[in-house]
Amino acid sequence: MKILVCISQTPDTTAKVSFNPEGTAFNTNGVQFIMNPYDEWYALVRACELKEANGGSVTAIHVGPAANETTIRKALAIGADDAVRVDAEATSTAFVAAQLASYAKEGGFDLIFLGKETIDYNGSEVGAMIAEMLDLPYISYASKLDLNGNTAVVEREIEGGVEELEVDMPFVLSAAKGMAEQRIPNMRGIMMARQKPLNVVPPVEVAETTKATHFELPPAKAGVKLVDPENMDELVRLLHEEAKVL
Amino acid sequence: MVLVYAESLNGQFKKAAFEAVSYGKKTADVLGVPCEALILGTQAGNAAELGKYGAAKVHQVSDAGLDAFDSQVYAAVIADAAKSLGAQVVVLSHSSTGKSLAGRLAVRLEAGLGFQ
Repeated sequence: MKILVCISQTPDTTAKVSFNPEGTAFNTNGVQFIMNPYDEWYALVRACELKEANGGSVTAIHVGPAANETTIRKALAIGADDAVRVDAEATSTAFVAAQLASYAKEGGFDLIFLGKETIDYNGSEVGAMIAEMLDLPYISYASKLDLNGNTAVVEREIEGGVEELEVDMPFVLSAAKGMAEQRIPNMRGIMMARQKPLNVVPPVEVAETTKATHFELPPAKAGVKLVDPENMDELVRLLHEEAKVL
Repeated sequence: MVLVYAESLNGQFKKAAFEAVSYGKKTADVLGVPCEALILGTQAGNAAELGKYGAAKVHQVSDAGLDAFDSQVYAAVIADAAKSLGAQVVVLSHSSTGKSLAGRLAVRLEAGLGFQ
């Protein structure tokens, strides 16, 4: 069984978000980057578990410059057998999806996994795009997956509940919480990751249809006003005159 | 024309469907075009409800094969409807269903994609 896991790199959750003075680009100065947690904890780890139980291989793929290879090596340390880096900046969801689909098309993968979304753009669109480009079924927000021969039984989160589905391989799946438990790479894994193949491939050309033109931070949250519990008149006045809810 | 896919569950429109139609109406007003809605399956909600939120017309693909959600099938049907009705913008809810469809539709229609 061949599994392809798409990994993205995102700012660490503690990163301070700022933009250049023109508001046209994210300011990466001093920002620590990590593997997107949904890709790492759920998609990659579940792929490794399936390989360990059923045999086969796990390939990690990433679209990004050479500076991102630390993230790719971490995927290899966690358990991917080999990795591919598409040598290009990830400029849009459509661009990234086209790169991933192009590689996946040639690879004959049984399963294509990715996290339910990245924690920076939260778009959750790349999986659906890959599935459409490859004409494959797409299961989003999957929280559980068991294989029964060529068929997978998958649970996915939907609004107000959980849906259980059966789907034949090959398919594309986005993984959510519950799919697997986070794995910390051990020393052996880290040492072995250095020896594993990391192939660099050129990007395919994509006609861009969407371009981010401007970024801005959300408005600052208004401060909290504390009112003395004895001073009900003041509370009523604030609710009436400032909050305008009375 | 702005085409809004209005999601329903058990014969009722989801609240997100009304939000999507309201957003579609605002977008349509900016563009100076009508806002129309699309409902799929035989058990969608009462189409007249969507009119309250700004849909000038509601199109229904009434086929029992659409009663259960399948992103591949839904994307094909919505894309065909968008093409045949000449939609300039397709609006979806930012729900698990909408998110499974938006990427597929953008690829199928060779369209740009904005989310959230």
